[in-house]
This record gives sequence, C-alpha cells and structure tokens, in this order.
Amino acid sequence: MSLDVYQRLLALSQARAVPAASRAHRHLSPRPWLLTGYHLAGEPSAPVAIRYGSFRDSPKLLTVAEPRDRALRFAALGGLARDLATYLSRYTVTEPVVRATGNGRELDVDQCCVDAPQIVVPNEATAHWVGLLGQYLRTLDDPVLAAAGAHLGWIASRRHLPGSSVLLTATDLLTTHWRTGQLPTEDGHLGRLLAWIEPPAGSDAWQAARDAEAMPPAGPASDPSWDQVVLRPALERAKEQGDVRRLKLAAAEVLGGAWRDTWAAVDLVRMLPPGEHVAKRWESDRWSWTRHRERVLAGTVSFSARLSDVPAYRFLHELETRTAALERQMALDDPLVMARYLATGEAVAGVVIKRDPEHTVVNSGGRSVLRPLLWVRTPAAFDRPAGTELWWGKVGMVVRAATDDTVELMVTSGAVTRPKLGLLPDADAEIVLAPFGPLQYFPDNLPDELPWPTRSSRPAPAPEQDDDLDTDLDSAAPAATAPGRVPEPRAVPAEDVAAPATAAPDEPRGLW
Amino acid sequence: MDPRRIAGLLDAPGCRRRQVLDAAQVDLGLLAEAIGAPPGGQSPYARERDGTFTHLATARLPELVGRHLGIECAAAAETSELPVGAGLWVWREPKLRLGGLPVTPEQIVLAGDGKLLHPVEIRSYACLDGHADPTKVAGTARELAVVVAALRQAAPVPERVSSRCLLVLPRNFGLAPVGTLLDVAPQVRRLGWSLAQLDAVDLPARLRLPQPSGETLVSALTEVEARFGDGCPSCPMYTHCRRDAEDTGTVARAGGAAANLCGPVGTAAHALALAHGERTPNGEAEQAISDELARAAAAYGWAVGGSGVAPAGGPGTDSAGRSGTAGGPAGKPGAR
Repeated sequence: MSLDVYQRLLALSQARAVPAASRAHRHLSPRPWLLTGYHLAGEPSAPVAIRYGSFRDSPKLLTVAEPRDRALRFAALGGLARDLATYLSRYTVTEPVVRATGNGRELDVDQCCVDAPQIVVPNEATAHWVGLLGQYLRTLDDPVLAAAGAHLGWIASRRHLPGSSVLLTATDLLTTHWRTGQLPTEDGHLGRLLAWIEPPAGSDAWQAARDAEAMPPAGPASDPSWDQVVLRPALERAKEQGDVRRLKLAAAEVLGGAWRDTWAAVDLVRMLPPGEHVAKRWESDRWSWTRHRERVLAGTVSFSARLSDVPAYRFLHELETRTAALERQMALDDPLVMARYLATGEAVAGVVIKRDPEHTVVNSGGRSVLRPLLWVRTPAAFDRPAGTELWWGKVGMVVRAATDDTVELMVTSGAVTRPKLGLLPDADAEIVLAPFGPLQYFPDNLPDELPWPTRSSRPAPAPEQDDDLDTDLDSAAPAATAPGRVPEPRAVPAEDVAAPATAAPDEPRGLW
Repeated sequence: MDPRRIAGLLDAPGCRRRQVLDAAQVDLGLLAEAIGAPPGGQSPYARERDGTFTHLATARLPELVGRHLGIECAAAAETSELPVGAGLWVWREPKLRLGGLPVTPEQIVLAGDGKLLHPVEIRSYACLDGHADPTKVAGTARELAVVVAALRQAAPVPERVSSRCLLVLPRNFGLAPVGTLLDVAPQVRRLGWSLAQLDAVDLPARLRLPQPSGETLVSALTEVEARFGDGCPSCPMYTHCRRDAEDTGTVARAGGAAANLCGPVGTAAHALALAHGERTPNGEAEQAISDELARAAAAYGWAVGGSGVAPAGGPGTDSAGRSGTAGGPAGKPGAR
C-alpha cells in the first residue's frame, strides 16, 4: 500500500506518528477488563504475577510465590478465575431481538445479551498467553478453574476473527489508528508505539522510543536480567520466609508501566469518534457471547485444537467474509481508510462534469432500459480497465472509458428507473467512487467436494500413551490426581466439536 | 561460532556489514559493550527448564528415535568423530567448519540407520496439541541447517548426512518429550547461497587484527555498507545501525515495504520532496516512484482535508468522507 509507505515516511521525517484513521474502528467497552502479567520464562502455565481489573487506579495484583508449585499456582489462578467470573456476570442481561430464521422468510424472537465483556491486553504475546492460560485451565479438574478456562478459550478464539472486539491488544489498537516511522516489528512494542504517538514534551520520537525500550517489558516474558537480579531473590524470600511483600512490590513496580500504557492506548482511541459500522460488528460479538453463555450453562462448551473438514471450511469461509466486510466497512466509515484505495487507484475521487440521465441501452431481452451516463473529472488518470465496477452509495456503475482526466461511467443499479433518477449525483458534485458495493454476499453452501486445505489429510492421531511429566515440584503437590501428573485434556470426539472459532452458527445470517 | 549466529545470516540477506561481522568472527560481547547494546542473555528459569528437559528427553531418546526414524537403538553413546553404522550418538563440543567458519555447537545428537545419519535436536518450547510456535520452529530449522551443512562438510560422503532431522519438544504443559520429523533441505539450500555471499567478502584490514579493541571494531564495521531492514532487530549491530539510519533519515528505517517502494531514493526527505512535487524526478525510476508517492500524498491530503489535491477545495474532513463517499445515508447523498 503506497499510502502506508507515504504515512511512514511522513512520520519518519516529522519524528512523530501520523494518523492512519480518523474513526475508532474497534468497539471500546465503557468498562473493559485489562490484563498484564509475566509468566516464568518458558512456562506459560506458570504465572509469576498478573495485574488485572476494570479500574485503572485499583488493579488487582496476583503473585505466585513458587510458580512451579501446583497448589500455590491453583490458589492464585482461583482468585483470577473468581474475579473473571464476577466481571463476566455483569454481562448476563438479555433483550429480545427479532431475527429471521430458516431461509429468511420467517421471523423469530431470540434473546441476545445487551452487552458483552471485553478484555484488553498490552500486546499480541499476552493475547496469545490468554489463550494458553485458558487451554491450561481447561485441563484441570477444578470446576472454577475449568469454567474460567472455557471463558478464556472463547475470548481467545474471537481474537482471530477480523472485526471482533472481545480481545483487544493495545498494540493493535494503536497500529490500526496511527502509523509510525519505525520498523513494523518495532510497532509490536507498546512503549515504543506510545512514544511515537505522544512523545513526552522536549524529546522527539526517536529518543522517547529508546527510553521506552529501556523500561521493563510489557510481558508476558520478563526481562532475563530482572529474573536474575530481582525475581529470583524475591521468590526465594517468599518461599523460605513466607514473606511475599518483596515479590508483590517488585511485581507491582515492573507491571505498572504496561498497565499505564495499556490504559493510555485505550484512552487515545477513545478520543476518536466511533466508526458507523463498529456497533454492528460489536453486535456480532454480543451474539457470540450469548451463544457461548448458553453453551456454558448447558455444559456443552468444547474446543478442538485443529479444525478439519466442514468446520474448517466454514471457518475459512467466515474469515474471508469477515475480512472483506471489515475492509469495506472501515473504508466507508473513514476517509483516511478510503484514501488507501484512492492511493492504489481502486477508488476514484472527482467532480461530476456532465450527466446524461436519459441514456438507454437495449438489454439482452431486446427491451430498451434506462442506463444513465456520468462523466467525472479526476485529478489523475484512472488506470483500471473498462468494465470495472464502482459504487457511489447504493448507486452502482461500470467504467465505460477513461482518459487522462475524465472517467465515463454507466449507472447499472440503484438509479436506473425514472423515480430514482433523483439519486444520481448532481453536476458539479464532488464524489468518491469506491470499489465497495452495498453489501457483499458470499453464500456458504457446501461444495460437493471440500477444497484440499480443509480436508483432514491424516487419520486422527492415536492418543499417546506416555504420561505427562509435570514441571511441578513433586513434594509440593498433594494434588487432586496422582502426584506429578497433569490429567489428560478432556478428549472431545471430533464429530460434535462446536469449534470455538467457528462462530458461524452463533450469529444470524446476513449480519455482515 | 554457534549455529544460531551463523543461521542469523539468513535474517539479513544482502547486508554487507553483517557478512563482515561474521566473516571476521567478531567477538559479540566486545562489540555489544562497544556500541552500548542492552544486555541480552537467558533467564535463569529458562536455563533450568532447558537443562531439566534436555536431561529427561535424552533418557527417552531411543524410544522416540525408534518411533519416528525406525531405528532400534540403545541409549546414546559418546563419540568424538562422525559415527558410522546404526545407533545413537552424542558428540559433545564437535569442532566443525562451514566454509571458512568454525561451527561449534555444544553437542550434536545423531541417529544412524546404517546408511543415513539424522541429527536429533532437543528444544524446550512446548508443542501444544501438536502445534509448536512456528517462529521458534523456523529458527530451529535454520540452526539445524547449519549443523547439517557443517556435518556434510566433515563427512567423507556428504550425502550420508540426512536433512531429515528429529525435533524433540515437551508435550503440552508438561515435560513429556514428543518427537516430530523436520526436513531442513530448503534451509540448507538457502544457507549455501548466504555462505557463497560470505566467501566473496573481503575483510577490512583493521578487522584482521588478532585482538582489535571495541572502538576499532565499531569504526571498522561502520566503514562497511549496511542494509537496514526488517530482519535487523536480531542482529548484534542493531542498535548501532538503527541510530545511523535515524541520523541519515534513511527510508529503510521505516521498514522493508518503504525501502522496496522507494528503491534508489535513499532518504525520506528526498522521497517526500518527490511526493510533494518539490523536486523534479531524475530518470524513469524516480519518475515512477514520484508518481506512486504523489498519488498517495494526494489521497492523504484529501482525507485529512488540508491541501486537498484531489477534489479542489476539499470539503471538511468528516462530511467529505462520509456523504461524499459511498455508503452515505439513503436520501440524496452528496448534494451540495
């Protein structure tokens, strides 16, 4: 995208981020649940410290004095699970919604939650960790922990769906709305990103970004030298003397930066007016949350590690539909996003210089039909071929010819009857013709044969016989199951997997 | 040099500074100190976990090798040379060479079926439900490629070293080892190309000194041309080259996409001058870049409602995008 490069160059030369969107394209809950934390190096199932909550001034802090001790770990995670359940319990109110069923011919009343929970984490790695934590918790026998695992599993599964706002990462929030002049991989560092967007007074983005890099990392992997110098003595003290104050102080200090930065990212995006389609996308999240709650209540939540066959086909289909829908909606909501398509030449901006509303053509049936013509003056040559379809709102047109500064278009839909001719743009009107029609519709009928990527290529693997050797300290594990043994993940027959990611049945058809 | 460092060559293709850094076998500790790079290193907890898992997995290797490679063998035997025949061997601190570079992994585990030798690699990142982190697997594959290439150079019959390796990882959240086969042939081919580039490097004289000081090192390296890009954050010279790129305002500082689009136009100021029509493009290449960027500049100007080049006298930002654009509310859109 040349606009992307141009914005990056602008940012680079100004040493300050430039806006990439003028609308907020993510739904922002009035009361999100933020989570930042560290786990023991290399062991995502062993949290060391987690800071979480919906209140920026009074976050909860969870620390585990011996992360490899199952009992202590479960006690701490139990606290997290209960607080998560309390937060989620705010989103149980439902409202009746009329929706089409069957082939869209009958109407039915269904209950949908009026709002859904939202988790915000500092970066992609933490979002991934949320999914891993959920996966780990689901392997446990404790009902409270397993329930939290199910919820986290649903939350993490929404992350992969374009346009979903259930699990937001602060870095994604900022890179969606601003462009920096640094390497795209450096944009994954929340502190650096914030430094580019709002450098502190008296320093430019370069210096501010370098300063931000020197701060403790936003997690979930901690700084190795911090592990050595601060964490290890604190953990030893907590273990030997039962004194966790030092650990708590160290954790609060080191996670404080990520906590503030995540809130700062949310605040920055909140200052933008929300895009028009954001509420509609959030509605799809609300439906998914409603369905997830129903499954939790019915005890039928299940997750599959790998999708294949029909669920995989449907999931791919949904990803494609959502990607196309998100691109379209963002462009229609936001001129700065539409500008990307102007820059690539897919969209065209110009002034109507001439109209011929009375133009007719003879269609294949031999009848003469109204097909008005428009001539639009453009600042640069429109280089797409004749026959390219463009839209102006609900008015669809095809390009008939283009010269260096004029495009000749024939209206083919939206304003092709006499009563609707008033919907055509006036002469001298400034218009933007977009490559996005009213709504793309992708039928999700199953083909006779599934495409090869979604076919299950190998037979289901035989369950491995060996026991999991746990990393936990055996002595400190008077666990529910055999000592030192993690119970097998609850196996789910592949047939009745309502895959977490296949949200297709969750939401009413045509919501997109 | 350990395999990881040599594999790092693949991260920065075409950077001469990086090639010189490795061809001269520069001491990275000395270099980091000289350029004031942040200390790296591994967490003590990660090291402990590594050690524990390697110990556990080594004990279970015969079983895994039998299951995945079909080789019946007893526990690994120590060796100090490239083994022949069938069995399982551990070769501690082998002294190998790759091209002109020394390759010194801590140990190599090899499984032989009588005809081929398969490297076995034990890593401690988890394989969850049959999936391991793809970035980490890709990194391991590159390092294994270095080992395979070095073993081939040491073997009397290079074809006897197979590029099919056994990767052993802990399963799920525990420490039970699970094995998968990994064919690193593509990585070996890429490495061959990178090494050919490396051979063509002629070292600056000052880097051939036996014990250069940190400052000499940096100034000698700075003389060599660098190519800043997306792979740079993993390079030991990263912080230094980054500063350089910031001071000169290089386009590449903003990433590979920007560098690719701007081609011969090196600095951001130059590219922006072309975009804004403040500078006449020189030659066809610059003309093409200028056209592309000017279009982006016009679109951006239109969207932020400032110096709108697109529709003259751009309307206010908000309503311009919404009602002028498609998707406006029904009624009579855009009538002014």
